Amino acid sequence: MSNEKRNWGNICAVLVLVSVVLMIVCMLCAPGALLIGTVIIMVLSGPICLIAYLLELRKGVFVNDEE
Amino acid sequence: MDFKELWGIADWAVLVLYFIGVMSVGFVMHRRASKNFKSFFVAGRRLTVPVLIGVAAAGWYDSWTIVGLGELGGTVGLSIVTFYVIPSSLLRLPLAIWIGPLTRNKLPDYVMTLPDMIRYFYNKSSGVLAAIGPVASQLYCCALLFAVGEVLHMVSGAPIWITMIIAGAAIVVYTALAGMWALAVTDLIQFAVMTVSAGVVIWGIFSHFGGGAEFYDAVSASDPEKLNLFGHQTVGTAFGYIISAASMYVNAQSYQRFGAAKGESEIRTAYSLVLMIGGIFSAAMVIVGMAASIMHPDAASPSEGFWATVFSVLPTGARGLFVASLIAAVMSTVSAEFLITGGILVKNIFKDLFKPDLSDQNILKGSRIMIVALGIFVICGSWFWRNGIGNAWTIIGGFQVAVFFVPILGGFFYKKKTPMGGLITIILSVIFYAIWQFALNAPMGIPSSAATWVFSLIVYFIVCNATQNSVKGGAAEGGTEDVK
Repeated sequence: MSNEKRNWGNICAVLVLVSVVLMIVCMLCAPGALLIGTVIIMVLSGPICLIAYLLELRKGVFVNDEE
Repeated sequence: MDFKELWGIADWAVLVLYFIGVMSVGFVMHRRASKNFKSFFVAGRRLTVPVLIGVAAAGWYDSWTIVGLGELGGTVGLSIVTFYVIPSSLLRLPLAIWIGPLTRNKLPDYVMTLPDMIRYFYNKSSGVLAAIGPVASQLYCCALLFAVGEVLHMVSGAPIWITMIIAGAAIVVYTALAGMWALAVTDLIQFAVMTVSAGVVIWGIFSHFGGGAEFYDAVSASDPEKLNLFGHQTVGTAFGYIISAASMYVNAQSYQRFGAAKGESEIRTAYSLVLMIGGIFSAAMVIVGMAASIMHPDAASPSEGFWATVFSVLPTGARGLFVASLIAAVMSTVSAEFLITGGILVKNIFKDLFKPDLSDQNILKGSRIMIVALGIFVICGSWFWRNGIGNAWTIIGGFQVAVFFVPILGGFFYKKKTPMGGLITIILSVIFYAIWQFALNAPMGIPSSAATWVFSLIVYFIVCNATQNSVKGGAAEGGTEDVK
């Protein structure tokens, strides 16, 4: 596994912890940010994944579908 | 509220488009999935980060995340985020960053199902016992399919049995045609539908109340305890919610999907992102439930209040999207259960017990036939025996989580594991769980799963150490028996 790929995994794991802390802080003292943040992340995350998959498909990532 | 009156042509268009989309994927992917069982069951182990995010979300977040958390948000408020949503994200993180990558990289290629894995760790008998839980998950699918039937009936007025047949048939078609390849792409579409609709409904709530502070004021005026992060909870219920996160450690879907990943770094990245996005999605559903308790306090049930809120704050078209998101959550879970159970029935039960020389192509063909049979069973089960089935699943699902938690983790991390250690722990844990849950009624308020974990941990260490000498040739390092 390349270092770059490993780093991405670690960064994403840290993001989980950050999101949990932010969620608690927003629930306690920033309800507006909680709602707006939720809207932004929800509206963007699914379509971004779908677009990323379509880009991979176009690049031919799945052409050889066996290890 | 008459939901049919609010259901417009744009909503129908969204729903029809969704059904056409997921069905088309099955036909497009059919050829790719037909090469061999590995291609059909774990998509040739080629799934990349974006697709893995979709399949991970489908496995870990189902219709309960939408309606169940919504109802809990309406009754207990933010404390369900404190005691369920956040612990779920944190307790599943080890699966994403350690166990998932281990499953993908350290287990041999022929280990594809959860029973395969248990058999690899211990022995054939343990593997067969491990097949019972995933097969019994079909009972849960019956409850899920009924939920879809009810929602479609609510908006269309069509009889529930017809709506269940439509939803069930659609799932069977794309799953039987293209297996994991179909699931991977449909799960991604379903994930996008779920997240966008959650964002839209939260925006609707924000607009309805005129801001976050105003929403909090309205909740506070109705029941200030719902804004307390520890409100409306007892120690027992809070503990129960926290440990329920552990159910994913014995979930057959999780391990099948780890095995379908392209590599360990993909699992780390995708599953961590899913924990973040899924946590926010779950919190969003709690907020919808809280809004429902204010906007529709006189609703006949929390579920009706939830849907009334969704239909109140969303415009036509977006309502269709939200209904599609619930259907998507159910379809993604049920299709995965069909695929896994079909594979396990043919590979781990029929082949292992009755026909060891069954060819790969016949396993693939048999899995497809089983998926169709399971679809028919679940549609009939949803309609004729749904109450009994719900109770049966509660019992069997509880057994699964309680009994296999320690043997699975031990299989990964305990170097002195032995075949007898796994088998005896599984058998004694089943007996212990039954006594603790049904004969003693969970004394001192200790949940049966937690009590069984402690018991099975003790048994596991004692038996593994006692039977060390009987293990030859380093079998305890993993691979105690060839499952080929």
